[in-house]
Amino acid sequence: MAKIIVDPITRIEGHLKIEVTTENGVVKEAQSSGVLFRGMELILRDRDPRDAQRYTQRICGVCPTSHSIAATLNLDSAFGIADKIPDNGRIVRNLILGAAHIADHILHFYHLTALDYVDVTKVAGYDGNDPTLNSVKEFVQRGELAPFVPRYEGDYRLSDQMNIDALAHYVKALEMRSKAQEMLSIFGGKMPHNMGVIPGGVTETVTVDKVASFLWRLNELRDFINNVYIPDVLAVAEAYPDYFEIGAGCGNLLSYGSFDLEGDNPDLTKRKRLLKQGTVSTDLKLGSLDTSKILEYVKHSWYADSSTGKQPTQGITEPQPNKEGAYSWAKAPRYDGKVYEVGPLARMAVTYASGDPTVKDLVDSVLSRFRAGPEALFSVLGRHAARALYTKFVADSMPGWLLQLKPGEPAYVDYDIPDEATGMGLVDAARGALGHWIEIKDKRIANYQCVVPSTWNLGPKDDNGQPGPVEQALIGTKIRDESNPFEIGRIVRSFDPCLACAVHLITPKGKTLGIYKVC
Amino acid sequence: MGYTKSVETEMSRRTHDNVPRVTILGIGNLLLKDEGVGVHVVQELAGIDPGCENLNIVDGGTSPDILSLVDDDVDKLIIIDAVKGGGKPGTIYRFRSDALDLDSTTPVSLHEVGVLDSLRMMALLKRQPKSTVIIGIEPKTIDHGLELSPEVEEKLPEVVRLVLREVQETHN
Repeated sequence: MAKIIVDPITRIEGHLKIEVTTENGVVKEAQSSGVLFRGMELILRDRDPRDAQRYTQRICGVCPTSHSIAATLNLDSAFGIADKIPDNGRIVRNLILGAAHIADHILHFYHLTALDYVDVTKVAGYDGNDPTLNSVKEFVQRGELAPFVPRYEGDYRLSDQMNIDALAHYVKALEMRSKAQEMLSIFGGKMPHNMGVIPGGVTETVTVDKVASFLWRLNELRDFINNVYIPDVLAVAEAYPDYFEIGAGCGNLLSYGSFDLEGDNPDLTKRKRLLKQGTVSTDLKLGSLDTSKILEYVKHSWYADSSTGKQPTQGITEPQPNKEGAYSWAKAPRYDGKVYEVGPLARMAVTYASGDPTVKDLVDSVLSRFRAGPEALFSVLGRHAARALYTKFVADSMPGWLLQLKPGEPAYVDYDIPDEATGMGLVDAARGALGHWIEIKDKRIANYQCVVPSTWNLGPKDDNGQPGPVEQALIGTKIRDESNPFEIGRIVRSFDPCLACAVHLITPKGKTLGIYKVC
Repeated sequence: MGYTKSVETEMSRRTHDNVPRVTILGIGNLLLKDEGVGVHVVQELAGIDPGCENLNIVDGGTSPDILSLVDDDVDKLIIIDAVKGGGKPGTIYRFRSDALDLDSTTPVSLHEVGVLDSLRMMALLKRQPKSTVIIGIEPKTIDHGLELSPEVEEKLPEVVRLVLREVQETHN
C-alpha cells in the first residue's frame, strides 16, 4: 500500500489536491480535494441584481467570460426578458463566448497539457534559423526548464522532429491565444472581465468595421485550428494510443449546451443551441435535461450535514471546517442521484447523440482513424480529441453568425427589475456545465448560487459514497512508476481542472533579497 | 474603466511613436479583499487620467494570462499586486522583475500560466518589456469581501503617487 499525493496540482497555490492510494501499483482509492473555501456567493447578498454579472466574472481567472454569460442568462430569466433579447445581442454574446472558448482550449492543449507528451529537451537538436526555437534552445541549454515543468522522464514517445515541431506550435499558440482575446474584446469592450455582456443583450453596437476586424482574426484562428491544433492532437493520440483506454471515469456525461440559436424560447433547457443540452451514458442515448434532478451533497465536504441533498435554488453555504470524514471544500453535485462528468467531451457526446450531422462526421472520422468505437471517447485521449473537435466546430460556426448580424439594429432591450423573482442561467463554460441561480427580494439579491464545472468533475464522494468523476477516472489505473506517476497527471489534466479560482501572490526570491522597501 | 486591448487602441497608438510606451497592470481578485489591491489601484488611476500618451492602464483581474494583456513593444511594464514580503500590512514594496524567483521550479505544477510564468514566457519569446517594475502591497486580510482592510486602503494614494512617478521617470 502506498500513498501518492499530488499537491498542488495547479500552480496557483493550494486549491486542488489529489491523493491516491495504490496497491500493487494500481490505484485503489483517490481523493480529490478543493482546499479553498469559496463563499463568493455570499458577497452578492443584498446587492443590486445587475452586480451579479460584474462580480461572478471575478470568481475565476480562466473562465470569467462564461460566468458573465451564465449570470446574464440568469438575470434575463429573472427579469422576464429571456425571450426578448434582440438577435444582434444574442449573436454577439455567442461570438464573445466562442472567442473565449477558442482561446481557452488552445491554452489547455498547448500550454497546460502538451508538455506531458512533448519532450522539450529535444530542442537541443534544433539547427534551424527560427529565432524563437533558438531562444527556447538557449533556455533549455542553460538548464532553465521552469516554463516547461513538470516533466516526466521516461515516457516521451514522439520523434525528435515531432517534438521540435510541437514546440514551435507551442510558441505559435501563444500568439493565437492573444488573437482570440482581441477578438473577444472587439465586442466585449475589454478582457479579462468583459463589460459587453449585460442583461437585455450587449452594450456594443454592431458595425461593419467590428465584423471585419473579428472575421480577420477568426480566419487566422481557423487556419491554426485546422492545420496545427487538430493534427497535433491526432499525432499525440497516434503515439500514445493506450491513453484511449486510460481514465474512463464515471461513464455519464451532462451538458447544458451553449450558443443560443434562437431568441424566443425562454426555457434554457429546451432552447435551440449549437451544442445541445442533455445527458448521455456509454450507450450514447440522449436524455433530456431536467434541472430539478440536480442536487448537491456535502457528507464529505466541509459544510454542515443539514445542508446536504439540496437543489441549487435552495442551496445553503454553511461552512463546518474540521468536519469528520470531510476532505474538500467542494460540494458533490449529482444528477438524478448519479455521478456525471461535464466538459467538452460531454457537450460533444450529447450533440453527437442528438444526431447533429456535422458533429457526427467530426467524431466518427476520428474514431474510424483509430479503428475505435464510441467507448474510446471515455478516456484521456477522448477528452483531448473532443475538446479539439469542439473548438473547430465552434470556430467553423462563427462566420455564419457574423453574416447574420445586422449593423445599426438594436443589440439590447430595456427592462425593469422586478420586486421579487427567481432566475436560472445555464451555459456550458469551457470546462463544462455552469449554472447560476438567483432569488430577488425587494429588487435586491436574496440568494445567489453558482454550481461550477469543476465541482461536478473534481468534487468529492457523495452521501452514498460514490466517488466523483476525476476520482473514478483515477481508480483502477495502473501506475508504472510510483515515484514518477505521470498517469495521474495526464488523467487529471484531461479534465482541464480548475479549482484555482484566483489567489495569486508573488513571493519574492528568498526572504528579503532584492526587495526595495519604499516605506 | 480598464484598458481595452482593441483594434482602435492599436491604431491610435501608432500616432505617438516618439513617446515611451508604458503599461500599468493591476492584478488580483476583487472578491478577496486585500488580494484585489492591484485592481483597486488601477481603478483609482483610471479615474485620475494621468494625461500621458502611450499609457495603457490594464485591469488584469484574475486573469493569469499577462502575455495577452501586454503588447510586444512596451518600454516599461508596471505590475501592481498583493505581495507577501513579510512586512507589516500596507507595506509597499518596489522591485524589479529580476528580483523575482523566475528560475524556481515547483516540483509539480500544471504549467499554469501565472504571473511569473508569463514573465518567463515573455523572456523566452524575446518580447519582454524593456523594464518591468513590480509595486507590491503587503495584504492583511485575504477573505471573501469587497473592501480593503484599513491598513491597505490608506496606502492607496501613496501607491498611486508612486506609480505615477514611475510613469514620469520613463517619460524623462
